[in-house]
Amino acid sequence: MKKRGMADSMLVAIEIVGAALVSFLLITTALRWADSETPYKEYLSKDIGLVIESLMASPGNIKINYSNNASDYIIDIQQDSVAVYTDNKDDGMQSTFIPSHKIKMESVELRNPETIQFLKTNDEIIINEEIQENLDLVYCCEKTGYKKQKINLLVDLKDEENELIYPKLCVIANSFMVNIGNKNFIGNLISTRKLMEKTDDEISQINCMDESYSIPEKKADVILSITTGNYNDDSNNIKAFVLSGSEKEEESKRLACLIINSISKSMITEDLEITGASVVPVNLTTTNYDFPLDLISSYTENQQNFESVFVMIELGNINSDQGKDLIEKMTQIGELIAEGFSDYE
Amino acid sequence: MNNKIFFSKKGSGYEIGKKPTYYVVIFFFLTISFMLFGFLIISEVSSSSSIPDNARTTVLINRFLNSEDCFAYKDSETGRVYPGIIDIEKFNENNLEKCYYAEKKYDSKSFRLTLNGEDIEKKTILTTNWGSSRFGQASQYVLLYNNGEISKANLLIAVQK
Repeated sequence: MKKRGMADSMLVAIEIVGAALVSFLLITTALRWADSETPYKEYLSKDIGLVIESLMASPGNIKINYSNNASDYIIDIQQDSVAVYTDNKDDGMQSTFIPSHKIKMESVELRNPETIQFLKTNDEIIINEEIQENLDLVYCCEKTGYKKQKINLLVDLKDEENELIYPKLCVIANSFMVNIGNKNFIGNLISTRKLMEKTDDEISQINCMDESYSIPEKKADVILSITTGNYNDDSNNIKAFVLSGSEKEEESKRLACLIINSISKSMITEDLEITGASVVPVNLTTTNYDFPLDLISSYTENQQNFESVFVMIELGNINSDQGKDLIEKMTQIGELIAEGFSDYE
Repeated sequence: MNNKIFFSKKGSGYEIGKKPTYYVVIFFFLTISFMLFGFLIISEVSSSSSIPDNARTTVLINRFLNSEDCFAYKDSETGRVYPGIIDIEKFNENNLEKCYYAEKKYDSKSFRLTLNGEDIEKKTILTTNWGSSRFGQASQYVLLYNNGEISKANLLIAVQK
């Protein structure tokens, strides 16, 4: 009887221990899953994949600040997959996304990123913790085969009727001319404005006190016309107009693009807002923009037969605050235009 | 073998004898409970981390309509891409294959796209993974670029999971 009692007690004890063990297992498993990072890792990997697929579905340039917190994980993004893990890949979750044959994307591993930014510009996706790229950059076509030789470069200035703006444009033009001279420009600098007298060793400069306008006899290989936008809104766009259908349209677009990008890239670090940037091919017969028509028609009556590279750069909007700030950076802008020009070949 | 342990008689070893059956039953139910518990947790985890199916489908349809790699019309002069305007010359299976990798590893959905407009003949293209399973479909009004002309058209989009 005593033995049986002892066996009963033992069984009860075992039952209690078993029940406690089972309860403990169930509760800890539930708690582990409740607290588990596994679902979040899986969610992050899928969500990042979806963001990349969305970027691939979007035309134009886009920058996305990713809002989910991924600072506890390592995010490994490959050409078609996203892995999210803590220490090693075995404890992580991975998902795939559908890549694009045309859009380039470098593989990247972000370790405990505080922020994640996605940037799509033209045919490239960049992912990093912080991206300084400027969305206003314009896609420049590949080198056009146009070789910079000893060229005649004509600098044309507009806005002479605006007494406040014209002197500033003149400073920009002179800064441009000095800077391309310093960048080993080989060629002749000519202008529709009167140049100051100089010795052979000196670089040509426009006489800003003399607003007279004349078309040089020497034909220009490249014409750069500088003006400002005059719009009744807050926009501050940089535009470059080229002659649509002209013989050097592609070369003109490339030069325009390089100049725009040179300015836009620099202005983002200056905290100056450029609201947009574009290269605009125009048909002179259908536009009401103020083009240097006398100059263009002195080369040919038909813009299709225009044989020179032509770019009219419009520097912001003088009616907006940001546009006014932009035009105040005269010497810097001249330098940036020269930088864009020197990249052109 | 001591029968008292396994088969009890009234008043002697009844409780002890009943235990093995009890343990077998308990073990059986516990196993089922554990499996059920695990299944519930896994499905809960899966549902909490899943992206709504429609969201991904929408993104993929946007790729067809908005990306110049797929069917979106691109003005060759300005380089501008017009989202939502389908270039009829681009609307073919060859282009679809290039812009959408219909592979199992990408968990790619299967699409059947039917373009129908006043000025064109009805045209249907399929992704390479289109099969005979069930599908849902929706139609969407789009603009069509055809030889320099823009016209209205209807795009019927059928999707298989």
